[in-house]
Amino acid sequence: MPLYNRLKEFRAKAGYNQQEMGRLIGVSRQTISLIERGDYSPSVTLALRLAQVLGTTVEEIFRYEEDES
Amino acid sequence: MNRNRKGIRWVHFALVLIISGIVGGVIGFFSLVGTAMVDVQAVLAQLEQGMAVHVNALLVGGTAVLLAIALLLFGTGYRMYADGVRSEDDARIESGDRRMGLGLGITTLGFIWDFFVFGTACGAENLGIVFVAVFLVCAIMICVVQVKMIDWTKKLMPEKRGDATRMNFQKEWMESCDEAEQYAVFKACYRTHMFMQKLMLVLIVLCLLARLMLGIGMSALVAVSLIWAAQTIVYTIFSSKYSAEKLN
Repeated sequence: MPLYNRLKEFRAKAGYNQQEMGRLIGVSRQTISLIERGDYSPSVTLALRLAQVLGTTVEEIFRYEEDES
Repeated sequence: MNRNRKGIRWVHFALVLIISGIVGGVIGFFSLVGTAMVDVQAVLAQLEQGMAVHVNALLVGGTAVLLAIALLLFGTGYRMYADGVRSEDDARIESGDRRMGLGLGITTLGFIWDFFVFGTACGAENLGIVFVAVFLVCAIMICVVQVKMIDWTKKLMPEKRGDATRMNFQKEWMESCDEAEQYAVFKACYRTHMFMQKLMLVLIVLCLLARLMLGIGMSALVAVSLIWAAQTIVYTIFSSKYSAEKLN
């Protein structure tokens, strides 16, 4: 089941570019880009850190596509 | 699995064995025909003699060409990566990263070339000490270029740690990679391991053929067998270890 994510949307709302986001989370800019494109599914730890920095929950950022319908 | 599917898979397996046997037989037959037409031992002896005569030129020339290609690739990749970061162009960053990786990989090929040429020339007579000095200079130059490439990479990626001149470099570098980067490395290592398992089988067959046709003795066969066994045993030990341990 493909993982749908709204990371780019939340990141833009928070006013961070990918490099800044990566620095805040402790990962590289490329990893942020991979997650946004859906080419990499983050670990639980990383997903929780993303949610914390963006001031939201993991479920708001990530969900399975079938949940949308 | 129903009885029909079980039967089909055994038929399929038998067909693969029969076809492989026929292909192997044809290759073996034409190899024998080939060795009957060409004195392979004489050709190899001439090749070895030629390499010993031109060993310094081969060392310097081969190293220079490979280093030039490596530096060109790395340099263009570095510029592409830096441009990509400035313009937030993922495709450009990835292309740059691939070129830099390829450049670094080619320096390792340079190392392999130097050792290969040195090894083939070693058995020749009257070579003197100069070729050993040339080999050492070439090998040291490659090391220096590799260290500089790592230093330049760290300028682009300041989060990366590790001093390439130290023994713990690989450990520190891996620890400074984030989870996605580590995952990519582990995936690449696994694919390499799987490829090597198949390659070892091919190499064993080639060593067998070479032993029969070229009279090269057992050394190649022993070397390949040892490498294959070592790889399999090490992989089994680490697979077992990581199945039982904390993974991250």
